[in-house]
Amino acid sequence: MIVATVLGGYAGGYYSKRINAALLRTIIIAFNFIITALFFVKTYVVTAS
Amino acid sequence: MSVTAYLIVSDCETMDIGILLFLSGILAGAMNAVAGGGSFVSFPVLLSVGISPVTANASNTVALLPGSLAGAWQYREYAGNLQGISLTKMILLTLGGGGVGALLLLYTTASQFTKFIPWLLLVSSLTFAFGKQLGHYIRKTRQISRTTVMTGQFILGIYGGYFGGAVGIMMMAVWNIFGMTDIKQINANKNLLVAAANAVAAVLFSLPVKLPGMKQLY
Repeated sequence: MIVATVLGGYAGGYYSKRINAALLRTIIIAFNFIITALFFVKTYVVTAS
Repeated sequence: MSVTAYLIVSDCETMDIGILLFLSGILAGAMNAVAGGGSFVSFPVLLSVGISPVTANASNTVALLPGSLAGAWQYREYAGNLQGISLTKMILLTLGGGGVGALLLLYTTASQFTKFIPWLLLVSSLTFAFGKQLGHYIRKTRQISRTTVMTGQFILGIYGGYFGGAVGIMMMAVWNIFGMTDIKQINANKNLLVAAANAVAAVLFSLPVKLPGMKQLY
């Protein structure tokens, strides 16, 4: 996993300099809210039921 | 199995765990280098293979450290001072905060931590999404001093040491509030300072000697 994060980190750093910043921000915001919602469901709905 | 991991791989049990961890590592490393949030992938995957939440969080911190360093290397030309505060000072503050956060994690129970995770993620998501507007409002109503920026960075370090997940996003959001807008410089400093918080936490998690009441993670 450590080797994989190095490869991913290097590739991400390389390609992110070529991506539109506003688009990048929108994608990240959407992704964050989706994952946050999933964690709420997992912790307070799935586990509780 | 965590919901997120379920979305990534529909049947985790039939897939080789090593391959799953490797793929999640690549994705998490790339996401962290781009803007942060890599833990949103790697942390649920670690949970899905049966690791306890606190240990999964610590393992995630250790696993993502080299990725943060790789991202920092890619962005090194953009790294620099933040709001007139030297990068060295920011690194030292982050290291101090990261140490405090890691110690806090070592005293947190698994059930407490599990309930805490969604709220940590929600705070980081909201700050990232609305940090700019909040920043405009705060800067209009009050002066943001260098002390405030440095205190904020120390608190970010605590967050990073405690919960590696989304600390990059939190840093970018808070710097946005402080008036930093150059996304490339923000990314460069973020990779470096996340690596600092992760590094000190990784060292503390790996220490063979524990104080009374501390968890033995490995």
